[in-house]
Amino acid sequence: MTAGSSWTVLLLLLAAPLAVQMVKREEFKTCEQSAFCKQHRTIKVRRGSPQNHHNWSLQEPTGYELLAASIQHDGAVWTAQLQNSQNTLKLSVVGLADSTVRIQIDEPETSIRKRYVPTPSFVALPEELAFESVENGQQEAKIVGGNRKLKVVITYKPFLVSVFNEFDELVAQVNRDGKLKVEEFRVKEEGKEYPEGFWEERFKSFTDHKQHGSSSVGVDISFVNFKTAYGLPEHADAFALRNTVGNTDPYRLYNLDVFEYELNNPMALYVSIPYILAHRANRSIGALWFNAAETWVDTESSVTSKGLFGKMLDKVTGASDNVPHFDAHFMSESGMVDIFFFVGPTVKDVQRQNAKLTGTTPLPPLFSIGYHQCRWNYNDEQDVAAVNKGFDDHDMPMDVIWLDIEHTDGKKYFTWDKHKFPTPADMVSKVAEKGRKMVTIVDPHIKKDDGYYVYKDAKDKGLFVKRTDGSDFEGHCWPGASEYLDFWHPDTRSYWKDQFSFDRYTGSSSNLHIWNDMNEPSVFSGPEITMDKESIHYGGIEHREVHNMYGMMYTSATFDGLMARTAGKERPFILSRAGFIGTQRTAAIWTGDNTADWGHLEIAAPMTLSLSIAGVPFVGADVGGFFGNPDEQLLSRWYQTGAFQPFFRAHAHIDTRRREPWLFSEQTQGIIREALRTRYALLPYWYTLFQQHSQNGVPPMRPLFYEFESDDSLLEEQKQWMVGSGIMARPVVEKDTFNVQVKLPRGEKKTERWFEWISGAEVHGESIYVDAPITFTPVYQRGGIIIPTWQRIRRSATLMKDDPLTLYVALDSNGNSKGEIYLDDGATHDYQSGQFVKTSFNYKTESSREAVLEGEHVDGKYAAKNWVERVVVRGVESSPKKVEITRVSDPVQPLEFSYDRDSKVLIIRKPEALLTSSFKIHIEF
Amino acid sequence: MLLKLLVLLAPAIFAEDLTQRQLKPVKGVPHSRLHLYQISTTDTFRCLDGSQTILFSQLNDDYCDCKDGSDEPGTSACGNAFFYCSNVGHKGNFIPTNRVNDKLCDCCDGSDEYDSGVNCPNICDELGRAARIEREKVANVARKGFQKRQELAKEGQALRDSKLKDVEPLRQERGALEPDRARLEGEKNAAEEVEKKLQDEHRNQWEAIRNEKKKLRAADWFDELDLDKNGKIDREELRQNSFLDDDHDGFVNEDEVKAYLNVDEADLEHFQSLMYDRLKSARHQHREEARFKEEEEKERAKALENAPDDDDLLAEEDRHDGEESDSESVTSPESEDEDKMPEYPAEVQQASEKAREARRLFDEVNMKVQDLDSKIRDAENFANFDYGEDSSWAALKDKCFDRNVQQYTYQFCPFGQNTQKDTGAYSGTSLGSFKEWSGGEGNKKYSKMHFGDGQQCWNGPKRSTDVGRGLESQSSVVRRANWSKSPNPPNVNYHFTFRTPLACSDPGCGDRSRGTLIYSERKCLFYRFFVVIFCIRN
Repeated sequence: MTAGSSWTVLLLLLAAPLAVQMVKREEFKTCEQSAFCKQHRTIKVRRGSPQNHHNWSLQEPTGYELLAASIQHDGAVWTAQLQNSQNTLKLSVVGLADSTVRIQIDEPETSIRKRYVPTPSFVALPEELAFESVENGQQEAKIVGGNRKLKVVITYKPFLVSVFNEFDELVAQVNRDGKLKVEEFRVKEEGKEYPEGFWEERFKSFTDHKQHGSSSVGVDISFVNFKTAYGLPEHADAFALRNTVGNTDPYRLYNLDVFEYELNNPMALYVSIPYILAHRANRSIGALWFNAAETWVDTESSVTSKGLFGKMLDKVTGASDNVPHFDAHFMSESGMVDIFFFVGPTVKDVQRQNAKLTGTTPLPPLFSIGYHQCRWNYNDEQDVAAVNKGFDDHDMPMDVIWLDIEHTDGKKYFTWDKHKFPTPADMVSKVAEKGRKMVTIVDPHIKKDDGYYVYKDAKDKGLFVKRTDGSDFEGHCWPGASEYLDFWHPDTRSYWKDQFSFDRYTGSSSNLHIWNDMNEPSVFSGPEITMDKESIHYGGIEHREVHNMYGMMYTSATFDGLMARTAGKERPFILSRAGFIGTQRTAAIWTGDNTADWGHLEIAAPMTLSLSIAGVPFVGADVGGFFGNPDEQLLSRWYQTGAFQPFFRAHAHIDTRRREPWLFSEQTQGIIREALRTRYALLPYWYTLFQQHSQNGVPPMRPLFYEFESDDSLLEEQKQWMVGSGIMARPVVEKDTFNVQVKLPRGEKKTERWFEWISGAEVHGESIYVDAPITFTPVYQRGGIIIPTWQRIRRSATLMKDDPLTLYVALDSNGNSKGEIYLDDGATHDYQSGQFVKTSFNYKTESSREAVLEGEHVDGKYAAKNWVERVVVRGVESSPKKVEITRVSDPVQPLEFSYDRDSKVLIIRKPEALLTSSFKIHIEF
Repeated sequence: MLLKLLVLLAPAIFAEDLTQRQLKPVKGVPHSRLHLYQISTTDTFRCLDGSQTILFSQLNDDYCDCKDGSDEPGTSACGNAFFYCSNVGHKGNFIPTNRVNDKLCDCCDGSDEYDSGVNCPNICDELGRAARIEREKVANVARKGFQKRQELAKEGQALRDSKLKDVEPLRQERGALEPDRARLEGEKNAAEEVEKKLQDEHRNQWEAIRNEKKKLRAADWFDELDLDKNGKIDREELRQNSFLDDDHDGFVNEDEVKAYLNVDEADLEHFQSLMYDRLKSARHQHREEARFKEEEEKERAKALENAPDDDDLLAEEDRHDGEESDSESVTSPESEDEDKMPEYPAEVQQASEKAREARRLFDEVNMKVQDLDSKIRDAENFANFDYGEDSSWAALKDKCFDRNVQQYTYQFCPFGQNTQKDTGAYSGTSLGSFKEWSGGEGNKKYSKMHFGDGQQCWNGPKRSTDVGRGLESQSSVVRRANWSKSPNPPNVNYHFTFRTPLACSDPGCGDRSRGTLIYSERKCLFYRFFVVIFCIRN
């Protein structure tokens, strides 16, 4: 053979058979196996109720009363002591700005140890607002919040907190069922008897030593006059919270790496947000349980006779004899009873109130709301180049190529496999040539290897989480023996921040962003695949006190790093699997390791809706399903669905077949291309929604009741959702289903109009059956809303940012429509100094002879190049005679138009109106 | 004006001629299509799909009017149109119009970014030069590769010829040996016949004597067993022989007797012909068992006595060995009638010696002939094997090529068996053995090789390898797209490239006429082979 003969490996795909099995339930605790949950759950309710039928032995209510003599009040803070036969507690009621009140129950000052409050979850310290009035009576105290936006009534005996909204309607109660329980920190006394599991608790082969004894807290919170409630993400379960009492374990909030999680149950997953939103027609209330320890929540929706609420219920509107209430019994292993009530009164008010406290997702870089292409793993630089090119060859837009753990040298993050990725900087910049970005994975477990600089540095500086004996905690993860950085330690945070500087992280650039995975934290060798609760963080904090916020502390440190690397100029993008209250400020969240089956496609919407309403809006599920191989129908439907969910990323397990879109049939390729194009066309709308979210907290992806607050028939809806206020999506998530039922909410006055998104034709009826062949996604535009779009779909979002716009104007029953667009450079923080453009659009039917579309540049000084190239007006009754435009200081100019009598769609040709200057289009009929 | 007039007068006939001379350029439209974009008398433009007629001024006005995008070949307004870059100095090509003015330089002449604020330099000359060099290089490689291939073909031919040539002397040699072989075979057969005859005679004599002896012994035993001396043995008499107690229950039952005597009684003749041998062997077995048991017991007893002392135990074992040899002699009388045939007398032995010698002489020659036959067969097989149209693949016969990937070594043997082997492991997994040229009919036959019957996939078919010819520039993913279109998409696991000049065909040939995408390039360069190994996973 000649000297030139050689073998070159192009591609290597490992072919291990896929394990088809479900979650190993026995790896994870049940309430029964968790000493504190078991204890709290058996506390008897104060009233006689059907709950008494449960087969566990119930304890008496804890019987706390408030000592009237102990009451103190100063401005926004009202305090008193609570007492029962066991101990004395300190109650604080704190008035906060924007219809928010904080109810905190702590140990008294004499406690041996401070109870942990997860203050890093606050976006800023809560803004206090002095009470309007305080009236400390004989049996109760009446506290009226500032601006008279809420009222709190505290009943002394038995201790009960009742919360009223600005209409003086009772909306929530605390401890009505008498389940308040706070176990104070202890020092073990020899010879004294303690309950089972008080000082140590066993699970499987693990023993958890509780240094300060069992220190759990719990109380019941009732949402009065509400049947339905949402939240407590993350669970692979229905959007509306179910009744766990008497049915299942309580919802568990304990960040865990659950392999092949099961659907429709309350088992813990990767994210814990102890937040409940209760909603009924035109009223909402939110309650945030501010606690980072393992938490279980028993929930039950029931109807009880009015007597239960006593005189508190006088003002309940239309109160009949039977009052619905949604009860949630919160139980946490440590921390405080610390509840924030967001009293609304509307759902968007509640969302804003929560956002004020815990923050919003800052405006994401434009690329990050485009389409992400991920796989465990793109094998090498050639593979990355081929995937990058594949999207161009097949005319499919794509913005980000991701690299999973295999890109590293032996799972040492910040390093590269030098054979497969010898020139990472070149690789990233080649991908970036098309306006695209790359994302690499960086996990919090650090390989125990003296040759690894991060390990060496962290070891030398003492930055790892410790065991109780002071040695460094060690566990197994991807690299084998690993140690875990302690992000409570300020030195860890500053060290971590430095690691992302361009000179430190070889191959990185501003085109490389970060994926933080395994941050529950995942510890393969640990109890429930996570860190031992007795481990110690900086300042002597026990891991049990802060477990649920480890992931957030991690991503926030990464965020600091990505900010620092460009001195705050460019916007970071981070994806995280674990999350907690406040995570939204630094990371997007995906629903973890799902599976390529129809159930997982369907659950993606309830899961992302649940996160959205709980304050985490930048969310998505792995398109196609992580485990297993989707068939073409499932994959097609998943792309159609993902296109209407906020974070849009395809991802796949290493053992699955390759699934880049062009590996499928022409038809499937066409469907995927269309789904991607639909998404990219709507990017200006999504971007504007994210900008609005950053201001008011309202998530881009919304349940229907956010937009149709008075409609009680939509409370359980989870297959249909809103994107903003103007688009309603009902992707097909059922196998072999080509006709689906769609609800078209008509609003309180039955005047809402709906238009089919693609054809523009108006649809009638409140509940219709729609043909949905595999190529079609039922999506509707709501009358009255103007949607800005980009119709020139290019290779990536970045390349489209200066493109002209097409406005879709859907008329409401009065012939009016409104909308807004926000644009900027899509990448930097310059918008914070005014480098953005915000333009409002307002279409008004003045008379049967005249309508006007007005564009008003309302804010920003960004010299946007975008102009309006087309206006599509939907629901126009007749053809105009004349259409003219007036631009600032220009003479009136006629515009061409076309009108389709069948679909009643008017298309105005080329107004050439810049976003940066105001304009008026006159339509004469 | 003139143009318009002419078009009016004879639009169809002269249009073609006119377009060649006086066409106004239109952005994004190649010269060959310009005639479709010329101004009409009505100042209108009809969308190329005929769906609509628009004002001529609306051509390339950055607004999409035609459904087919034909009115905006030079702007990004329509999503489904193509922009032509003329790329003077290099090669003209179409790009999707969504790449026009997107701030990325897609055309080497920079013509796609005329209004995006990005200055794209014209690098066509440079690229053209580079492309020419590359083409030259490619052509060179093709040429050299083809040369090499021709050499290999020659080599292959020569190899084949030489094999064929070598066959002739072998045949001659074989021919020369044949008379000798035939003669020696005859001699051998004759000598063997004599030998056999003498041996048979001797054996028959001896057997007659032996049978007589045996009969006498049987008669003696018959008498012994015939307790009532009535000349017949019945079951009751037989029952008295404890060695017939097969189930060791202490007495001989009816069934045990029946096994030997299936008629009511046996006379001497019956006994001799049907019972004697079996009874004798039963008795022998019985004695053996008894002896074995007895020894065991003895041993146990001794072991008990002497247990504390290891040395004694050893001595005991020694003694035991001695006893064993004693007991063997006890059984020797049993074999009395199996005595050996006496040696052949001298005359018979002489005949055997002669036969042996004749055999040796024959074998010697015969081996030579067989060896020649095998050589001839090999050479003929080699020469007749299909090594491609020009026999060039003959050079790869019996050759293998290794590639290490992580802990595995992949071995590609063009006409043998492909394997995957754990580094350091003794044997590997078969990925299939060469079955056939599978490219199909005619020229294409040699573009593919199929290797089948490899090790069975878990829960699946047998592993196989397909080697197909492709272009270097063809990315692996494009190849895989073809696979996945089959109803049951196989899981392509590995993808290798095998470089060989055998992939180069004649650069001078008129490949273009073949019309497929691969063949439309005039390089005639098929430089890489894809080795695809897959297991279908369900």
